[in-house]
Amino acid sequence: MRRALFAFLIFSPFFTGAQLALIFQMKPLSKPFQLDVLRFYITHVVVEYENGEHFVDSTLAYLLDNEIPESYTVNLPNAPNVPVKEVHFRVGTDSVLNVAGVLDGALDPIKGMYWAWNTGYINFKLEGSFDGKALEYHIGGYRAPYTTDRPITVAIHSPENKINVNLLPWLEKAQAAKIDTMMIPGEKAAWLANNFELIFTGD
Amino acid sequence: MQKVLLSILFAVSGCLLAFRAVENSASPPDWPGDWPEPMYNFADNPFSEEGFELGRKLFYDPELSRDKTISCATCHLQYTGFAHVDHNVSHGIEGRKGTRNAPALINLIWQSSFHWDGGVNHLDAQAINPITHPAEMDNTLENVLDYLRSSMEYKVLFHDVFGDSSATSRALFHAISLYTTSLISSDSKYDQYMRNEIEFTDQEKKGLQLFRTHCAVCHREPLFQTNGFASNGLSMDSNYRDVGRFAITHQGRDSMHFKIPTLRNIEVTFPYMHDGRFRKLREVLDHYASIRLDQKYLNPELQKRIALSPEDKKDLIAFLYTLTDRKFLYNPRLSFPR
Repeated sequence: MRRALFAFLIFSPFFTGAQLALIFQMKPLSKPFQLDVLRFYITHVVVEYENGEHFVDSTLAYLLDNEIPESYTVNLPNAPNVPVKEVHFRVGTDSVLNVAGVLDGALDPIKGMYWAWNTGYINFKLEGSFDGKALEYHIGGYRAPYTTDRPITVAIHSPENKINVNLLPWLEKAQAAKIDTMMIPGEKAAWLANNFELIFTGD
Repeated sequence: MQKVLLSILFAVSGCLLAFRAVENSASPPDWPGDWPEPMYNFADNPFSEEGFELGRKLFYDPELSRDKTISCATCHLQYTGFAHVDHNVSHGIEGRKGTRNAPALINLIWQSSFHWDGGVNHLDAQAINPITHPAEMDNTLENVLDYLRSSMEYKVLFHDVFGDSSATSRALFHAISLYTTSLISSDSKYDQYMRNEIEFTDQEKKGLQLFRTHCAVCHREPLFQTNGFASNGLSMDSNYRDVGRFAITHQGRDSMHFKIPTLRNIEVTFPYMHDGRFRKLREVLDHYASIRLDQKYLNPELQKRIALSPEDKKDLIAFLYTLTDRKFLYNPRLSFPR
């Protein structure tokens, strides 16, 4: 009981005023798209401030999961909480993480974001439907030339450091290319990863 | 209450430790000084005797499979070089069959990739495959961790080795690797001959010479493996239509390429090839001596006819038998923990 109260004091939003966080917010999908699963990795977070300074985050990876709303807030407790100009990150995991064996935390294979037979992370998982037709995108692969982690830069406009997650332009591209499922690394997975940059914008 | 429990845990683990110390003297993986540096990163997963024993227990524990019937050792038997003797493809729970021959687990720390297609890039991650594959143990990592976290015995062992009684994925697979990295075979008749401790027969000497002429480029001494892949002229098996490494890389040049396995203990690891199609070494040599040379992806080393007389084949087989390492195959330290 005492421990629970302690945890509340430490982690309550009320006491985190000094902490910098990135708030990812999901833009609702308009019909005919229906979303069931959205999970993706964010790595190599770098915050660029208005004052010209920058902060390099050392956490290996964050797993953002549509079913776990808290995961959409990426806390950076060591980052100065002063006005942010831009945020850089990669969607997905780099080759170093993919050849490191079995890791814990966000990178634990138990998270369902790991292929064992073709070792490596699923960097981005999206499942749902379009006009009643099933969509299943498991995008991963770290071997050149078909790497699937991609650098993203987002200009920050809000004091809460909000980053919009808008799947629509990405899905439209996939649909235009007639790709409804993707379960293996390769050329098509790499092309779908190229479109990750369409998803993220500053609010 | 928690403190009391912890003390009991420590007391029990202390007794177990003392008992084990009597049973086995600690010995981290060891290999001849002139062998190459291993690929496995021991700095990331340091050897401990307790860790080795934990890995050994896991390797032989059928509770890791969904219906608690098969363990790693079911398809990787020590006496047959940790291969599945007499089974062309691996077997799973409920009599399910895989599509490939269970490879021998020998000298794994010098291997840069695992599985016949090299799809697995790390020894630690390899064991996820048999545990979760529907045609093998058909379990989930969640189930396995639940089991380990609810077993008093495992709680003590995980606490001893990793300082945390609650097993994690990383700790689980590190533990298994502490056992599999110890599967080192380096004391065959061939090794003793190379150390000038014993003589080869004339037939074995001739066989070694033939081996060095025809086979050693891919099966390189002293490990008798390379970390490469080769298309060795086998026709595609009609049952499995296995394209090998192409399934991993999607590069045409990798079509029908399979991992070049070690030949150590080859006498006992039959049947041979990725689909276990050959039961006898004689059949393997017959194949290499009669490859169709016009195949598109055939390895360059095999594009010239390998001419082997019946005598040559006998000599070669005599040499291959010198790669059998009985100390390894019957080492009680590696066997079922009692």
